[in-house]
Amino acid sequence: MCIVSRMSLGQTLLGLLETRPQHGYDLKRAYDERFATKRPLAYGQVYATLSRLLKNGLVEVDSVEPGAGPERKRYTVTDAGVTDVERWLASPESPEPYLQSTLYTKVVLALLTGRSADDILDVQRAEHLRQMRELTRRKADGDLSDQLICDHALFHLEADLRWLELTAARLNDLAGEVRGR
Amino acid sequence: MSLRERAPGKVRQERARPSFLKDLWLGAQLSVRGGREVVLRTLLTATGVGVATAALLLAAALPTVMAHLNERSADRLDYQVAEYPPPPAGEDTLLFSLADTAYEGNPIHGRIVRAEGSDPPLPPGVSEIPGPGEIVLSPALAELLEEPENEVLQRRFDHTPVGEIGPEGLMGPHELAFYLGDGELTLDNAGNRITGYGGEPGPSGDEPVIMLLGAVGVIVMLTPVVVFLGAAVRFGGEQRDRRLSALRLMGADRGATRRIAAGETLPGVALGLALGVGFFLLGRPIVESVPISSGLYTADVTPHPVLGPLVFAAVPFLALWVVLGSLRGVVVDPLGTVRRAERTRPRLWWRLLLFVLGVSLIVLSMRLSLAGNQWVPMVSVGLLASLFGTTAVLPWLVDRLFGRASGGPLSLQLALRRLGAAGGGPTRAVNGIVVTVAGAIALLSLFANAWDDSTVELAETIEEVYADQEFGAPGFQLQTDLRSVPVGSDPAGAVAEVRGVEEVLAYSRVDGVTDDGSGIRVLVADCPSLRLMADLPECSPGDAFSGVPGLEPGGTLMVGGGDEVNAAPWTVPEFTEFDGPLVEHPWYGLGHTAKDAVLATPEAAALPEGIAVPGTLWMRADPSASGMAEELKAAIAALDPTARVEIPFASATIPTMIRMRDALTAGALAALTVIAAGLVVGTVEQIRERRRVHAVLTAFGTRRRTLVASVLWQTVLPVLLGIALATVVGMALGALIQRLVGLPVAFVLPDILIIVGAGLGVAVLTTLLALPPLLRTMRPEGLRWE
Amino acid sequence: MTHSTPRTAPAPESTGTPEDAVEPLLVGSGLRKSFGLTQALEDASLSLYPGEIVAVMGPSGSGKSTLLHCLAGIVRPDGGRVGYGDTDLTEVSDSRLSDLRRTEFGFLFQFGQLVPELSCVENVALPLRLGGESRRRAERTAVDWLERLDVAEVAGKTPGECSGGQGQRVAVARALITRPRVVFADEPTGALDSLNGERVIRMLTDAARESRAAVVLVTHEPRVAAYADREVVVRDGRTRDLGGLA
Repeated sequence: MCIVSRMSLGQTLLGLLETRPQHGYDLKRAYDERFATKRPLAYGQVYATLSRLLKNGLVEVDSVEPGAGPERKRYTVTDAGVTDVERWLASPESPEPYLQSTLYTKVVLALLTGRSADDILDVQRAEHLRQMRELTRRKADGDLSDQLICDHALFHLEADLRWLELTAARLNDLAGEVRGR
Repeated sequence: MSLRERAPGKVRQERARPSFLKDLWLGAQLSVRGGREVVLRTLLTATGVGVATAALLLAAALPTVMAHLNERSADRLDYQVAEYPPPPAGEDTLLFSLADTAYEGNPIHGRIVRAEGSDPPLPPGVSEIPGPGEIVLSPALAELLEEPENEVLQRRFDHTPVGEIGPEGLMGPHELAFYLGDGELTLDNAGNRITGYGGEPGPSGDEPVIMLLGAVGVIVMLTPVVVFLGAAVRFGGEQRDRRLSALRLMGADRGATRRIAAGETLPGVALGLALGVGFFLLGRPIVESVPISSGLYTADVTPHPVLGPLVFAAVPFLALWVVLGSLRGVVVDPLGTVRRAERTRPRLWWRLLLFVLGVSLIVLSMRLSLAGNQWVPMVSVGLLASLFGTTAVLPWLVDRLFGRASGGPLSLQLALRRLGAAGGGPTRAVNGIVVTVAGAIALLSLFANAWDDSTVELAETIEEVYADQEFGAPGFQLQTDLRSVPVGSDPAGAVAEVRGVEEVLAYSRVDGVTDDGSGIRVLVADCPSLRLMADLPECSPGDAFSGVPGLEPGGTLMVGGGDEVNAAPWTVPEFTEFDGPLVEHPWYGLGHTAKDAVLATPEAAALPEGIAVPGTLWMRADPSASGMAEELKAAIAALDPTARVEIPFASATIPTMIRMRDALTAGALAALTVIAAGLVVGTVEQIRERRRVHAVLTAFGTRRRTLVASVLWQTVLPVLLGIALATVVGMALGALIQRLVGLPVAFVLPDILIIVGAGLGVAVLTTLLALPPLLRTMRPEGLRWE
Repeated sequence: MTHSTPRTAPAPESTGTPEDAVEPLLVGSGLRKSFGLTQALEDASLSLYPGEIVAVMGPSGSGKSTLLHCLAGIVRPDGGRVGYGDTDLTEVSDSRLSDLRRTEFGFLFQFGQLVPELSCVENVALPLRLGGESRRRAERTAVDWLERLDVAEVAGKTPGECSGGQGQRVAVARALITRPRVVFADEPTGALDSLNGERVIRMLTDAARESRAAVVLVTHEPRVAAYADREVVVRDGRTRDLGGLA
């Protein structure tokens, strides 16, 4: 399974392209290296996504090189594409299980693209806390089963936040690691 | 599994239980590696142990001191070892007469000596018998004579110094003593002839008394040291607690942690023992400068061969005992150290029993009329028992007064609660104060007997005393006997020149024996004098008077006989009958009347040559004339170095006793100082322990003065309580003893006031010294350390 | 009191950023503080509006507690200013600060804040007595507060005889008894388990809201911070206000 949900594959590729113009094949390799866990990304998925991005004007073909196999198109990100990545990074994910995967992707991409990962985390923690406050308030007014449900959610959110806290603390290490690749 | 294969017992065998000594050693190593606090604690412990060691070594030297004094005193025994009848004069004989006197109340050991041959016995410390007009002085007397303000003493000892008396011939460096050579000394006027000095040292009677007073003193003085040590080993307690907890976590059992904790003090104890020896060696020479009585030589203060080493064994145990005591009520657990919140009630009953026992011992010792000094041990033990028993009352009192106190300002409430909860620390210091102050007051009262002996009060004023012993028509008060009145000398004239002397009468006297063996005294003086000596009819030069029945003028009397002088015949002159008693000094009078005396003018009685003719001086003096007494002594000494004159006094105090009282008071003050040091250390440690509470209270907006006042209350209240209790108990014990001996109850108030004042000073000083660390904890930054 | 912060300022209902119309009660800006070589605060700012509860979060060592100490006038910052009404806390005298802390602020710490020798009711009455109130009146009020926090049963006990939760609730009572305008709570649940921690923080926030006291709540526990109206994150001595970002 891939850790990036289909919805955000486009933005992920855009982000990767933002670091430098790449061929589809290189994109797949870069993606697999950083985000794929068990199964590598299928070529088809990569090209389908790229053509969708091309159609929306978020990427453009930089050059075409003749090669031994199929022709190799080199893609580069457009201004609209950069804006799209930015918007995606800035918008908090809805707190849910396995959120870390998306968040992790965001953080790595932020670091790769020289954006502030701190901000991403802080925005996320604010959203988490907002939701926790809401749950806390609901818990105060609710009956026992409400309280138990809310507590369950609160503890999960708290675990996320702890991860955020830890990540924030480790950002410097992470930055060195990511850029080093 | 390999773990299973190993027998459980084997594990234990491999790790043999660390021995007692190993635990101690581990503790010692830990303490060496500790931080600043541990170093400080080690130094504090060392100081406490040092003081205790030095004090105990000093006490252990008491037997040696007594033995040395006894030996020296025996070595110079003279008249006590003189043979009777006196041996014949020879090459190896020495004549001497006692010339003990005093200067401004300080006794002077004096001997007038004449060597009768080339090999006379030498008194200890003297290398040669002084010749006529020569004198050998003790260093202290020599020093006294050097001082210009003692001019009158210089006149009295206006002789050629030919040497000093060595230490072996003196009781101590401050003894005033002299040996004066005199060519006119005869067996008859000297009284003593010896062929050797010194005798067997008798069982020194005072030894048990001094030993036991020493014991009481040492214990009373050691109490503050124990208090100080108790505070010192608690210093940095928090840190130690954490360390001990960690050890427990690593598998040390409770006993082992205790031993390790005890071991942590060992470096301090070892250092303290060394310090103690240092203090002792440094302090030893100082005893020579302590002018109590004759003083002591440095060499006298040598620890007893058995007791001395015992000190080195006992002090570490004392320290260990204090450390283990400080761990009482502390439960060291792997995860932390808990001081048991609920105070373990000090077992009241046995302390009360101790008190009752002590008082009964005192009562008993006084009721049973014990021989000699046997009462001393009982009183001493009783005193100690009751003093320590008294401390039992303190926790109860603290509880009573502070436990449920309410009202008053907030600072007072905080202090009272703290006192009520803390139990241990402050009370321990106050226990020290109670034992010391009450002990000192009781001892001062116990010595009240001695003070009474040392202070003889004859009358309200000196004039009254002089008036009391007036005799004769002009109201003579003083009399002195001269061993000889050389023909043509005018002793009366010489004495009359002394300022304050109003009237002097001199006469010569010879004792004679009639044929039937009855004694007759022949008194020779001029007519005006004779008429003052008895109720005589007309008198003119050449007259003589007597009422001796059967005495015929022209008859012969044998007069002036002595041990080595044969009596000479004297022809009784013509005399006029008279009757009635002779005028005599009320103290020295023998009841002579006209019936056994012949009064003659010099013209009537030419006494035979070759016999000793002693004389007597009668004087009337104005007691208020300043310096009269010493001047008179000097004038008389010039006439006859062996002559003594009793100067009356209204009340006399032996300076030695005063100095002993001062020493006792000084000792109490020293003890209080040690207690103060302990209190400061304890208070500072307490403040450190409470820095979090203080920081929180400060955060709350508690004013500085509230907290400062609370700490002030905390130290002042227990000290006040302790002093009040100590004063009451000390005076009560003193009064009890005085009542039992049948003396009027009296206290040495100035000294009591000094001690009580010093106790209050201790409280204030402690607070002042504790103030800087207190203010430090009051910085809200204290919140940062969690 | 010379400062003129209006006591009648309407407190925000319970959540959300206060309306712009309300003046902040306590403003710390540009705060710097170092202890020796350690820079605890580099550039920290926080505005506290009347009646709001602000959680100060951040990793340990980030300077949260120092920020609280500076805001409360316990520690004088090296730079920056702390405005409380017209007063700059960094400039007034020590005794003035003490007065202010006693009358306007309340405090709650993680542990060790109760005087161990005093009974719980005496501990709670302490701030009133420091203000000069008579012992009887102070203790009567204290008993009311203990009842309110559901710990009346420990009134006569000493803190050592209470459970951690009870002790902390006693401390809440003590923090609120003077009806302070600001309560400073430094990890008030740090030494408690989840359940007791929740009870304490709930009682604290409920009571604070009821008496319209603002609360600065330093905590590293998100679930505790969730009781606040908004959060401020301190990282490496700098504050990040998340209130506006959410």
